[in-house]
Order: sequence, then C-alpha cells, then structure tokens
Amino acid sequence: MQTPHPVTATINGREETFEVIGLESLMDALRNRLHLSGTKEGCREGECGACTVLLDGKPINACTFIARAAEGREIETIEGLQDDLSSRIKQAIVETSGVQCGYCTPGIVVMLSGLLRRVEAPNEALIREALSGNICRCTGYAQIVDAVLDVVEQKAAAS
Amino acid sequence: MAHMDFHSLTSLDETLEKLAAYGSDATLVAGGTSARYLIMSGQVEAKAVLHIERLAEFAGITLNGGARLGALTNMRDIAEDTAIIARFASLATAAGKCGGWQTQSIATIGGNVCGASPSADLIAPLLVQDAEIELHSQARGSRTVALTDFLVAAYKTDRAADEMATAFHLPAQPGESTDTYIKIQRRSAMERPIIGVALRLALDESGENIREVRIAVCGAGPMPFRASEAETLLAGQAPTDEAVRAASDAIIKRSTFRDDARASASYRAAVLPRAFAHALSLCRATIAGA
Repeated sequence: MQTPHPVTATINGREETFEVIGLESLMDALRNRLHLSGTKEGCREGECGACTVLLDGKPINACTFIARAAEGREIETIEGLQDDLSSRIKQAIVETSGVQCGYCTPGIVVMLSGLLRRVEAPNEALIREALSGNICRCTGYAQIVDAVLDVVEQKAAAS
Repeated sequence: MAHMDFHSLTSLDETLEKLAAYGSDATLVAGGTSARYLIMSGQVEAKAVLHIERLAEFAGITLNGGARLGALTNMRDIAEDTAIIARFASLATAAGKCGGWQTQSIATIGGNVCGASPSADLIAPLLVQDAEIELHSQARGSRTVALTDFLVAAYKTDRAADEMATAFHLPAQPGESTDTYIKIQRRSAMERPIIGVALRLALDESGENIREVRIAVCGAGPMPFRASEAETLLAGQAPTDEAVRAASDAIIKRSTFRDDARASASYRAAVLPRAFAHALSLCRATIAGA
C-alpha cells in the first residue's frame, strides 16, 4: 500500500491542500480530489490536450504531470479562467459555433488563454501551431481559429 | 503498485546526494512528459523518482562563441529563442516540432537526449553541431562527453547511475555555415519522425563547393547517427546531382530500415534521399540569400 502524501498548491488563486498517491497525475488529483471536472480526460498520455491547464502560466497536459510536483506551484484550470480575456475567448467560440460535442473545449480555451496572454495578436499560423496539441474531432478547427481571430480583432478595435 | 520514494529537489548537491544513495534504483524526472508514462506502464522500473524540474540554475540558454543550454531548458524556450533560431536553426525547428505546446512547455532537452529514444527529435540536430554533454556526480565531479560517445544504443547512454546531465555545449560553428532539420511525418504536428535529417553546411569562398557538411539522420537505424561516409564524399566537392546521389547512397548503405506503425521500411528508404537532398538545397539557398 502506498501512503497518501499532502500537496499544497495555488489552484485558481486559492491555496488548496489535497492528498495524492504515488505518481498520481495532476489531472486525476484535480478531477477526483478537488472535483474540478472541467479538466477532461482524453488519452492519458499527453497526445490530445483535453486536460490542458496552466502551470505557472504555461500550458501543460495535466495527465502527464506528477501531482506531487505541483507543490507550491500555481495552477489555473478552466474553472478559474473568468478574466475578461478568457471570457471573450469563450464567447467568441460560442458565436462561431466552435463547440460541437464540447469535450475538447475546456482544454482549447485554456490553451488559447495562455496564448493570448503572451502574444498580443497571433496570426492564423501561430494560432494553429498553438492548437496543434489539442485534438478536436468535431469542428475541423476552422470555427475555433475564426473565434480567436475575432478576439484579436476586437482587441485591436478597442485599443 | 509497490512503494516508490519521491523527492522533489531544488539543488544540484541534494540531487547528486540522492543519486549516489539510490544508484540505479533512481529515475530522474524533469517535466515527466515521457518518464512518468514509462514508469506507470512498467517500461521503466523505479524505486525512487527524483523530480529535478525545479533546479532553475540548469534551465536557460547562454551564448558564448557557441551556446550552452542547461539540461533543464524546455523545448518551447529553445524553439522561441532568437539566437538559437539564428545560429542553430535545426535545433529550434526540432524543438518546435516535438509534441504539442503543452509538452514543449515542460519537456526538457536533457530528458529528450538522456531518454535516448531512436526517434528523439533533438538528437540529430545536436549531432550536427558536434554537441557535448556535461554530467555531474557527487563522487567524480563533472565531465564533458561528445554526444556521439554518450549515445550508446537505443535507450542506452553513457550516463552513470549516479550522474545528472547538467548542460549541452554547442561549439562555435564554421563561419558562414547554416543548418536545417527536415522531419518527415504523416501529420503536420504531434508525430515522431518517420525520418529526420539534420544538416549543417559550409561552402568555400567561391560559394560553389562544399567546404564541410555534417549530416545526421534519425529513423534509419536503432539510433540517430552521423553519416560520416557521406560527409567525407561531399567535402571539397561541388554538390552536383551525381555527388549528391553518391552521398545519398552512402547514407542508405549505413542505414537499417524497419516497418513500424508510422511507416514501412521501403517508404523510409525512398524518402530519406529526398529529405537529404531537400535539406542540402535549403541550406544552399539560405547561404545564397544571406
């Protein structure tokens, strides 16, 4: 039997302590211990991006990350992304019909929030590159890319 | 699952002490994008996991005549570094094609190389820079080894159980030379290379003849390798169709191709000469345009 170990990390701006076992993934800890089920389980091996979260601001696959390595770090999940930029991304994806089954959507919104925080006005090529690790089987990506371009355009118009 | 020790470390001394204590029972894990999966799936047996991602002093790129990359520098940082893009383009390209951004944000150059996977993206580009790897141990201090000597076989390196890789040294490159990396893959992203060709080219003063060419190939044998026979054939020659074909034949002769889920052996054999010729022409075009 493995002994549970406590991990303390900042999750969506709040300090949380939770217990994990062995090399339990951050994805399992978020979903099963903290009940943050917006982080989706797809492939469990870093191929599909459904579990994308921000670790100290950088997008990672929570399924390949060891939860115990999150000690003292800052994690943002889809539940925590309520800022203006993230909200505009979500709204734009709805408006362009960039959601079909919706399973990949949280991971895509997290990835795009990470991208747009860092890059003011990404072009289509960069948006597609940033999304290369997020698998969407429904949309064909075109509507999602359009949504990001809309957000970039709104930002430019507002400034 | 059996008990497994886990230590998240923040200093080299602490890490080397744990490595000395656990020896081959320890597995070093940085971003864990590959290592965690290998342990969980039973492909790597670990009694202790040493998490070294937080050793910040070994993450980052320093330029000298060449460059020093800390072993914990992540793929995204390599792909986006303007100096690496300008001077070691093949390395920046390969890092930017290794998994998605979620993987690149946390996967390290040290992990990619020390895992010594036959399809590790960064190995071929490092081989054409004549890169060296620096390792530290508590018992013997530091040593630096040429990457060609460090890579022993698939999944097997010269790293001793008590050593940690700390840096990669890329020496100053021949003046006016340029490099490129061609990755043959089925999709435009999220693939291991079917064939990868890294090439560094320097032309002579006339701009017509090859002064020096370095060629490294992956996907054409159990490990990425330098195609030294082809390099020798081309040195001092004009890159005529005939010379390029002879060099291609030398690379093929050195290769062993296998069928796997990604491609057939015959496809690999057919595509390698084209990838090589393409890499050569891209480098020539870069030099001509510079």
